[in-house]
Parts: sequence; structure tokens; C-alpha cells
Amino acid sequence: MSFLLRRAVQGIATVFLMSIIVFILSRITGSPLDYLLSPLASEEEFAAVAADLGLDKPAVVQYFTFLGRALQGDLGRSVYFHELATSMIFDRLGATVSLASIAFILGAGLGVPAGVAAAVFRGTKVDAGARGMALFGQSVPSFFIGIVAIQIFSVNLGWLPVGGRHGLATYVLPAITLAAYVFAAILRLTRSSMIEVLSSDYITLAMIKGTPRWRVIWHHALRNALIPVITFSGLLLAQMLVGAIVVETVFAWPGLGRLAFMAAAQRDYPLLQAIVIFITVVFVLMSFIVDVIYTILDPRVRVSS
Amino acid sequence: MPTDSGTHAAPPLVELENVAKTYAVRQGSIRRSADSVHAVAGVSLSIGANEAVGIVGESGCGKSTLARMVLRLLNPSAGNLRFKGTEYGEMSRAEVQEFRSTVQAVFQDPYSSLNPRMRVADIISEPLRSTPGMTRKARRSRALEMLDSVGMPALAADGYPHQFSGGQRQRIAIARALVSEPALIILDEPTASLDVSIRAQILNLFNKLRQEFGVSYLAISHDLSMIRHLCDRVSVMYLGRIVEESSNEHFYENPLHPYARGLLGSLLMPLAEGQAPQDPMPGEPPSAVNIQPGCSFHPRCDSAFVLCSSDTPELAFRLGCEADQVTACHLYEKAEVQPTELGGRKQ
Amino acid sequence: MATEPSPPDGLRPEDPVPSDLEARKRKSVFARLFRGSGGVAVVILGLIVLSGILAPFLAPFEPEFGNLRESLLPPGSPAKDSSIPHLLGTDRFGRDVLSRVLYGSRVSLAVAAMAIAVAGILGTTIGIVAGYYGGVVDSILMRLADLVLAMPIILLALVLAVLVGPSFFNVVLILGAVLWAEYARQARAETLGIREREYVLLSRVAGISSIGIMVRHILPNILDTLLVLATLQVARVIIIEAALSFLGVGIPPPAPAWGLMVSEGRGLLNTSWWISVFPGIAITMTILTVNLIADRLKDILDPHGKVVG
Repeated sequence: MSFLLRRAVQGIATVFLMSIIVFILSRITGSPLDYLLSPLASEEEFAAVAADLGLDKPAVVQYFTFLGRALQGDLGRSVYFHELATSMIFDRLGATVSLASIAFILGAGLGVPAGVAAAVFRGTKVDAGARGMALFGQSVPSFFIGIVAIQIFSVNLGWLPVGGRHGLATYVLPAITLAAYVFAAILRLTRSSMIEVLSSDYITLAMIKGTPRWRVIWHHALRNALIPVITFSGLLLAQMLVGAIVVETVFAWPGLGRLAFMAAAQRDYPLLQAIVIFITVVFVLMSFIVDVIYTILDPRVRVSS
Repeated sequence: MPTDSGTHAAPPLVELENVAKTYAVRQGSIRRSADSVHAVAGVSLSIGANEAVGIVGESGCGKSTLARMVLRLLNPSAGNLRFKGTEYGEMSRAEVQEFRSTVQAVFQDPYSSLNPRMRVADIISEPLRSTPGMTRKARRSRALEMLDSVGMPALAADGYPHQFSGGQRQRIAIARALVSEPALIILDEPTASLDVSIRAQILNLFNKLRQEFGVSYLAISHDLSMIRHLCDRVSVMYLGRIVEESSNEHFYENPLHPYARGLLGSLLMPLAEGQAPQDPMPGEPPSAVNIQPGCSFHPRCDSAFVLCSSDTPELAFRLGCEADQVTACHLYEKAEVQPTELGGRKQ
Repeated sequence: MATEPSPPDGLRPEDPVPSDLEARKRKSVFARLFRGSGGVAVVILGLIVLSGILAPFLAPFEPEFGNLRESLLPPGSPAKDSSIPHLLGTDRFGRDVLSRVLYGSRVSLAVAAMAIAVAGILGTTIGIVAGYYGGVVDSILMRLADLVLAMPIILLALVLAVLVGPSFFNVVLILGAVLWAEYARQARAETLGIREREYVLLSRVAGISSIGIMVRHILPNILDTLLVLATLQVARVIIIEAALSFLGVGIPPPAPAWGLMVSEGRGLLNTSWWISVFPGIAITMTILTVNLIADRLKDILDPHGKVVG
């Protein structure tokens, strides 16, 4: 219990630290007014915004004003789009989550069996092949896969739409691109975890007892081998949100990642700041959920520390 | 021969007075301060110049903990340690430096005593780095001298630890212990990890070095035969306490405490080759947690009687002791008369 | 996707490691590395690194200046002012793609080397100090490391790029500022173990100062695993830098950064595929070989998976 408590506190500290960092960064690199208003804005507009942000007050007060608003759900307003950041984020959250989920299911759905096969047939061509695929999945940059895939499958062959999100077909290419890395990472983890479990004593015992091989693998080995994979997946999902930035940009996918990119491209700092804080919260939340799951699955963690 | 340090002008090199070390037992993250492990429970000892003192006991009796406290690697929970008369806790920086070059150690495991990434010459000469004014050349030549003293070829200087056998590594460790010309070397099970055939060689080396350099030893071991061949005085330790202390000869001629007798009994039984020494005393030592009143040995003692479970016997000169012996056992009446010659013992 | 810890692979924890395996390993590290596909990978990576170093001599053209009249030429087209043709074609500004790819090698390697150097030195020092002294120092430093590890690198890069504009220096800074934490964690964990080893205790008995112990005993004995960590990180650094440059928040034009080149050729993929494809292949090959070598190195130097990269 104290372990979870500690992790919770750490998580909250992370979010606060992140908010402080982005806040400080935005203030020390110039006045927010520079990017909040175009240079052509009038004096009154400058003054109005300055008063609204409380820029005449000391920095600490400014921070707490910002913090106060953030805790109420107001993360600022986009300069470029003129909408509330929070609503923009939630509008696009669905797109990213759906894409990430499908990519994850694809990647894990292929990665786990491949990893198991590689472990069971360790040393054979199956293993070598699986590891080779994992190596490629890890090594080819996602943006490269993306643009080549678009060129071949959308432009040249015309099988799939080029981009955007309108219908099931538009999910295919982005999901595959995003899934490549997931596939590779999960394959490797499953493989090594499986190898470790397969060599343990109680598996040998089960085999000696005469249990059919498939049952040994399915029932006994897999269950334990998957524990680290599950905990890893939690973190993986959180990071996919960030990795989605590249894929969404390439495929013009209307998600959070693309929003972040556009915010950066338009120098829309308030929006970017809001996204950063939001994603940090998600990260921390996912980490915490992973810790909870881990505590449930692995009794050793509960008893020790 | 027991030294009469009472009439010597110089204080003993190292002196321990009722030193104890207690650890709190933790369960999970909750600390149960009621339970404690008494690793060392009131040990008094003194080692003078050119003296070899041995401490014998089974594993877990606290001897290594004691060694670490003597070496200033661990702080005692109670009691005093003194180096040349000065309390450990009150030593100035210069005095600590002097301590560090005066008191050295050789540990049990020759495989982890040497840094695998360092050359032998550098390992041996490392203690000299804190000596001002020594050049690299000077350090190296000292290292070569030491290699010679321990019977290793000069070629070894540029080798790495993994190239040497256990016995050779232990020699290197001994060379390092000698390089700063210490007055006292703490030996913590120095031969326990070595082949039986090598042990004799190392023992002979220790004796030779003592003759040559006049160095004192505090030898800690469960191996009685090693202590016998090395030491002038023997202390027997059980569950953190000294239960018997005597000169070398009198210990073997006249062991008093039942535990001491048991240890000797195991020594005298002939061993078939490769056979581990049998433990003639049934049972294992009880855990050092929450020591019960009475003699700590009585659960395993053949001769225990009623008093033994209620009264902790004091380490004292008793009837049956030779002039230089003390023992902690109710079987022997505490004597009124205290002989004048007793190696620094306080009654 | 690049901010990914790669899962461990290799021997099981309970496999015994004989005491002098360390020494034997050292001798045979290179031997085993070069066997089979590892050897191929080393050769290819060696070529890539070499081409980067020797780029000024190898490249037939200037990487950053182009003849606008020679723009968008396909691979193999003859060049106007030179006998050497544009082997890989030219880009929108008439710049020779081959030359840019060669020089791009330098950029990627420079970023990787500097970022890892910064992160490595900073992280190792902090980790050893935290592990050796323990107590409050340890708590504070590791708390800091944990916080840093939780930060999403690409987002931070976006933020920095927006505020001060993209630059080489910013990329190195961000990467270094986030990656040091992994080294610190690793170094600290190992320091805790080494601190109690007998040769360290004996050095304390001999009066060696704390700094002396940290430098002479702890550091050399953890370099192996730190090296494994560094090689695991090289691939990540390169891929992150490529992604950042692709997004326009990494190395700014007109530098021949591979990621940047891929993004520049993106709109022209249909007609002038060579502008994106060749740098993309370069990135892939580099990361592939680095990953392969890192895997091999890990099997050799860290069979028990002490490093969680």
C-alpha cells in the first residue's frame, strides 16, 4: 500500500514539475504577449490580454493563477484557433485513442503469438525470422513507413485513401504504421519473458507429468510470461500517444498528435502548453494504473518494500 | 604468552570495551523495535604489539561484525573501541589516517577481495596512495617488494586477478595488507575459501611475516587448527559473546566451557578426505534475536542445569582455570582470588 | 514511438556466471561481435560512420548549395559542371542527394555522440554519487531522475522549438536533459552492489578517499553495462532526432539532416521519389545496424539483463 501511495505522490509531483517547467520556459523566453497577439494588434488589445493574464503581477502569482484555472479544467485558449484548449483536446482525443487502440491490438495481437512462437521454437528459423521482423519494426522510422505506404498503396495502387479520418479504410495505413513498433517491442518482450518461464522448474514438472505440450504452453507458461508484457503495455500505450504525433502528421489524422504539431507549426504556445500538461497527466495516470496492475498480479511487490 | 599490558608504557594497539552491535528487526515497512538482533553483545578484548589473538566461533556468532567494528567499517551500538588509547569516536583526521595505515585486513573471499579491473601491482600499492610523497615508481617498487615477501614472482605484478588461483590471490591480498607497514592485521577467515592443501602454505606465510615484520594479528575463524597454529591467545565466541579466553597452550590442554570442548572435540575427530567436519553438538545456534536470559549456550549444552537458564554467567576467572584463562560457565565456581597476570582482562 | 524502452533479451537470471568470465569476455567481445550478421552490421555501420567522417572528401558536390537549374533530376543524371553524375539525383533546390546523404551521416552521428556524451557523463556521475552516499542525497537525486524519465521527449522538443526555434544545440540539449536519468538509475543500482564488495571495503580500510573509491573501483566496474545502455540509446537518439527533423522542430534547414530530407521530399514522392527514399534508407540502415550491434553487445556484456534499456 505504501508503494502505491509513493507512486501516486511521485506522479502528482511529475505533473506539477511539468507544469512549472512549461510555465517557466514560456516566461523566460520572452513575454507571452509576443505569441499571443499579432504585432499588428492595438495597444488596448495588448493591455487587455496583459491584464487578463495578470502579467503585471509577480511570476509566482501568475503561476498560481494559471494553476488554479488548470485545476478547474481551463488550460488556456488557443491563439490560432481561438477556441478553448481543453475542448480542442477532448474533441481530438477520440481520434487518437481509437487509432492507438487499433494499432495496439494489431501490434500486440501479432506480436504475442510471434513472440511465443519464437520462444517455443527457439534457435530455429522461426525464431530467426521473428527476431528479424522485430528488428525491422524497431528500426524503420515510422514517418518513413508512413510516407512510403501512402505512396504505394494510396497513390500508386489506389487501394486505400490518402489520409484523414472518414471510414474504416482510413484506419488501415496509419494503424499499420503505428503498429510496427508495438509489434517489434511486444514480440521481443514476449519472447524473452516466455523463454524465462519455459525454463523454470514447474514447467519442466508439468512436462514430466505428461501434460500435452500445447496445454503446458497455453495454460501454465503463457499466463506467467504475459505479466511483464501487460505491465509494459501500459507504458507503451501512453507513449503511443506521443509517438502518434508523427503518424498523425503524416496521415493528416485529426488527433491530438496532429494538433500538437499544428500548434508547434503555428507557434501557438498556449495550445501546446495545454497539450503537454494533458499528456503528462495521461502518462502519469497510465503509469499509476500499471503500478496497480503490477501490484495485483505480483504478490511479491505487496509484501516487500 | 599473555602480555601484561597493565605495566606496559604504551597502550595496546586496539582495545575493545563491552562493545555491542544490535540491529532492529524490520517486518515489511513497519519497524518492530521490540525485536532486535544482538549480533555482538558485550565483547571486551585487547591486542598489543606483536601479539596474535584468535577468535573462534561458528558462523553467525558475530565475529565478522566484530571485525568490521574494529576496522571502523561499522559503528558499535554500545561500548568503546580505542586505538592506541584514543577512542574511535574522538579521533582527529590525522589520527584516523594513522589508524588506516596501522590497521589492515585480509578477508575471506580471494575472489572478491581484488578489483578484477586492476593490475596486481596497482592493487597492492593502492594503500600507498594516501601516503604523501610517494611517486609511481616508488609505489611500484614497494609492490614488488611485497610480492617477494609473500612468495609470489615479480612477473605477477602486471597480471590481473583472474589469472591467479585462489591461494595466489590471497597472497596478493596479504601483500596489499602489508604494504603500508601495519602494526595490526585483521584476518577474517583468511583460509576458509582455499583448498586444504593451500591452507598450510598460507598459515606458514602468516607466521613468517610475523617473525619478519613483528606484525600483530586478530585472527577470526571457525577453523580451530588455523587459530592453533597462528595465535598466542584464543577467545571463543558464541552468539555475540566471548565465553572463554585463554592462552594457546592452555586452551588445548584445558578447555573448560562446554562449547569450547565441543569445538575441540570436532577438531580431534579424524576426517576422511573430503569429509566436512562433523558438528558434535546437536542443534543449530539459536537465532540472535531477542536473546533469552541465562547462558546463551544452555539449550545445546549437555551439562546444563537449573541455574543456566536463569543466570547469565560472567566471563571470569573460575576454579579450574589456568592462570591466564577465563571462562563463562556456571559449572565452574567463580574464584575469589584474582591472579595478577591476566592479559588486560577486567574482572 | 522512439521514446521506447526496449525490452530485455538474453540469458536467464539464474544462469551462473563463472568468476573469470569477465576476463574471457573482454577478449572475445570483438570475436563474437563479428560473427555472422553481427559482422555484417559492424561493417555497414562502419561504412556509414566513415562516410560521415570522410564526407568532405567523398561527396562529389556541396551539400547545402544547389544549382536551381539542375533541380529534381533523377538518379544518374549527368551534372552540368562536373564529370561526376548526380548518382542519387537532385532535390528541389538542385542539391546533390548523394552528397547530402553523406553529410547527413555527420549530422546524425554528431547529435548522437554529443547527446549521449552529455547524458552519459552527467547521468553516471549523479548515479554513482547517489548510490555511494545514499541517504538524503540519494533520495533527492533519484526522485529527480524519476521525474525526468516520465517526460515525453518529443513534446518537450516541440515546446522548445516553438519558444526558441529549432537548432542543433536545442536537439542535443533536450536529448541530453532527458536521457541522463537512465544512466543515473543504472549507475546507482550497480553502485549499491559494488559498494559492499570486499575490495571496496578493503580500500576504505586502507584509507582511500571516497572520490578515489568512486573513480577507481566503482566506475571501471560499471562501464560495461553503461556501454550497453549507450548503444541502446544511440538508436533511440537517432530515431528521435530524425523524427524531430522531419516534423521541422529538430535540425533546421539547410542542414542535410536525414529526417529533414525525408520531409522535404514528401510532397514530391510521386515524381521525385529519390529525395525522400535515399535518406529514409540511410536512417533505416543506421538504426538497424546499431540495434543489431547493441543486441549482440548486450548478449555479451550483460547476459543477465542488468540493463533495462
